[in-house]
Amino acid sequence: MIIVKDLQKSFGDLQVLKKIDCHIQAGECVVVIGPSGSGKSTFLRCLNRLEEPSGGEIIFDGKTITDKSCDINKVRQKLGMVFQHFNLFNHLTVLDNLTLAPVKQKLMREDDAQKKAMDLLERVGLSEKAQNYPAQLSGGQKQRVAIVRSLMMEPKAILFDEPTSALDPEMVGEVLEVMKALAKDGMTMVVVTHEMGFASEVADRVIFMSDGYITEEGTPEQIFEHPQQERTKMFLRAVTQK
Amino acid sequence: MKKGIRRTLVLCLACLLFACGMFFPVTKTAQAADVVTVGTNAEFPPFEYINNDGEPDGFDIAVIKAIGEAEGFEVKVTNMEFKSLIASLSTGSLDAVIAGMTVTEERQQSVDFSDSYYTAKQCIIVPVDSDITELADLNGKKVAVQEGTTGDILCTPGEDNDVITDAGTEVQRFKKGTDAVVALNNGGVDAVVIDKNPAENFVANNKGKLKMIEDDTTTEEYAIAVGKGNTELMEKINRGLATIKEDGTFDQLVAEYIGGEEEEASADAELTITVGTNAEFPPFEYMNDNGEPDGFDIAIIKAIGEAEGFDVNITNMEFKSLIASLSTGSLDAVIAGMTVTEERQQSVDFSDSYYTATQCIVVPQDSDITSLADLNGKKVAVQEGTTGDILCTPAEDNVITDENTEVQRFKKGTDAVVALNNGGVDAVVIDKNPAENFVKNNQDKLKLIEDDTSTEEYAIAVGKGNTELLEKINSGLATIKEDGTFDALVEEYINDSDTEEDAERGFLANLKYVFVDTNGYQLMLKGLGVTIGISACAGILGILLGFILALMKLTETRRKRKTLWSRIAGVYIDVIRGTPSMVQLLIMFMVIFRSRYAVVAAILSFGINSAAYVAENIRGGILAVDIGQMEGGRSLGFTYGETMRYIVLPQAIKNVIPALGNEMITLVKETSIVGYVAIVDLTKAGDFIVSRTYQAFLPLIAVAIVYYIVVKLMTWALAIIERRLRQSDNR
Repeated sequence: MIIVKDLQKSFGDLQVLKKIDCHIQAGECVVVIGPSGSGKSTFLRCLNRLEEPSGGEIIFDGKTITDKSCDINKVRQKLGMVFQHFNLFNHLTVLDNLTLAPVKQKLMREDDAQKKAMDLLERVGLSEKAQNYPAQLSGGQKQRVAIVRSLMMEPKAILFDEPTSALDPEMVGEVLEVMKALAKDGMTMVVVTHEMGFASEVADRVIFMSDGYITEEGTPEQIFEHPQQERTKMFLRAVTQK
Repeated sequence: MKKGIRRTLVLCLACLLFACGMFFPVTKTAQAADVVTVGTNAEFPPFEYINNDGEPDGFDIAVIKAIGEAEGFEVKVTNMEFKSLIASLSTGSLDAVIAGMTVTEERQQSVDFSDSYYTAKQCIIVPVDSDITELADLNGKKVAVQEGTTGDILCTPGEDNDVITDAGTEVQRFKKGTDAVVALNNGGVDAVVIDKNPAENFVANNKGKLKMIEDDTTTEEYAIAVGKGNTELMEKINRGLATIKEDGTFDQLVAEYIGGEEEEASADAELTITVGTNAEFPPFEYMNDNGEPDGFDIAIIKAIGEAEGFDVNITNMEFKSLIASLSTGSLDAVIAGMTVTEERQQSVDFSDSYYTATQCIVVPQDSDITSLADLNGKKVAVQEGTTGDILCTPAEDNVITDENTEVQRFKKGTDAVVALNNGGVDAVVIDKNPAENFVKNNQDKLKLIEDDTSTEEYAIAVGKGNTELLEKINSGLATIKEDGTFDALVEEYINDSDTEEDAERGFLANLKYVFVDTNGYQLMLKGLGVTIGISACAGILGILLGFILALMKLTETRRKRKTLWSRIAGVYIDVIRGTPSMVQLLIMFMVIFRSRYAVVAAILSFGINSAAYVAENIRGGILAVDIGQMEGGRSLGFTYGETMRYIVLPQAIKNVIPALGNEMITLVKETSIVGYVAIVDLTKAGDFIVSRTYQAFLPLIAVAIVYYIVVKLMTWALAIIERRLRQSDNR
């Protein structure tokens, strides 16, 4: 589904991604972990070109999206993204947040979009919030709406950029539940997160990044129980030592 | 536009008066048959025009006078509109007409024609690059003609016109051939059709721009017309014509007037002189109820213009600028109650004096000031740059020698009086006539002191060395003094100033006096309309332009480097914010619009100015929208433009509205400077009321209140809009 070859990204003189190669299968749930500053988020944002890669190649669903000729807007319709800070459209109601893109991009008729939106809201338990504005929701509710918003586009894959980092602890669970359900349904997911519990329970594969490289990857069991690299061990010790 | 109508009216009236004056006495003596009243239309050089003495002259006039001489009758020439000539023959108010008039069957129905004295051709004048080559090419074009002439007949589409058949041909009929040519030069029409001889003159004066096309189908005969059946006069004229043709007089006149157009070139141009004044000096000059300069001086210069055959264009400016404007040539003459002083004679030439004035001192009733010398060490208000200013400014060779004498110089005499009424100064020194008006209007409060040391002469100033104009003015002045016009004007403007009523009024009565009796409220309402109109148009322009500029500047934020667009917008904002709006307004009006379309200039100027501030407000509002909103939109497959439109801008508006509202409120108040380009807005209206009533308090407070109400209404409207936009913020 997503093939990354020799991906590099620099901000000015600072090279954040040095050489990333990876292959994400359809239906796979890949969790990216690593110390802060290791380039996890940059890697994720390069996958839908919210950051412009400085070098290398990314192929999504058979299309080389790093090509100049590629219409990135078309790609993004099928490659959803969920942000740390939700990025809901503050001036629109929940329902309008969900229907705006499919309707304006003429992918759905307005009434179909509304019906689908209500179905999805029902599934995440927020149908009574349809007419509320984002400012009237809790963080967990906002993030669930944001996930639904990306689902509205019927994406082939969804990128999650630290989806629970901005939430109060008691709201993390409700978001992770929704993500688990998605993974179970076979959605291709790339998740940058610090939730090791989620990683070990849900991930098909865990990628450990440090200093702009993927330094280790494997099943959750391999990474969490039998890490090979010293850097990985150090990181895991630090995050589990609560 | 309104001014144009007014001017035409004045002109018609002037013609009528002139005509009446000419042939009232004449008709009485016409029975004696030795005086023949001949009508002409002196707008058709070289056949007839107004010469430098302001009298009809030209080939036709010379011919009819020569005929008169040969036949022993005296010729009285009357100038009127071409259209009216034949009618005047029929009513008998004219005996004959000589006006380059073509013999046509139509006209022969109404008048009898003499033998032809000239064969003329109609010519077409077109720009040098025009592809018009003959009369038939004018079908469907815009053509300028002189009203009622053969050119008019030739160009007007009609059944019996077999050359111009296209009903879509637009014929613009001008009173004067010169105006038709001006229309051609301005590109308003495609061609001018006019007799060959004036055409040659026009083309000679516009070498390189215009060319002349002859069309053989248009040959015509000029003849002298007399009333139907007036065979006696007709015979005389034909016999006289034959005589002068025989004895060579006729050929001589042809050579003088028609062959030798070189020296006539300057004489045929219609002369308009621009006269500057400062309409703050009643009764000599002031703004009348229509907001136009009026007064004794204005009437005098117009009367002189009439006598000398030039048009007068009055420009109102500050007194201080008058002499400088003469020097730069932007004014031809100045009439502004200006005293002849040696100092001024260095820079300008003065005409004969038209008025002897005495400087007066205006003081409060209870003041102990009795002479000019008493003003030493006092506070004195004067009108800037006037004789009063010179008299009161301390100097060694002056009556006022005390260096501590404080002279407050006002732009307007009325403001000086207001300062006196407010107790800010001890006295006002100003010319006697306005002083009398001021005191009359403040009878219980002010009194007038005459000081004989200060007699002075008013004269008309022209540019140094402009003797031609000076001679015209002096001869015109002599003419109107002789014929009684001058005395009538003195009577009308200066002696008859008891129209203002007593100043003793209660508050309510005074309120009524200031706002109702003198039509102050109407002036203010009109001014309010102008203020709102200019502000609204400029505001809309500013927001549109500012929005575009903001988007141009934002290309820099998106590309993370300067772009051509952001540079252009940057320079625009930099320049506009770096210069005063007042200066921008003056440049827009005087330099770019050449002192025309003041309101349009003001709207553009304020719109352009406002756009610079609005642009930064909008840009700031857009940047204040969290970057995540843009990323959220882009991640759903929206383009940059779509994200802006659906997601960022709707949120930015909310951020921008308070600043934008602030800018619009500033704009409304900033337009109060449009008075500088002669627009009567709310502020200027208040100013007028002050000048008219000599009271500052009521009109100015009223103006302030009206502005306040306008701003208050805007604030309310803004609050409502903001509340609606904030809906999504409610928790």
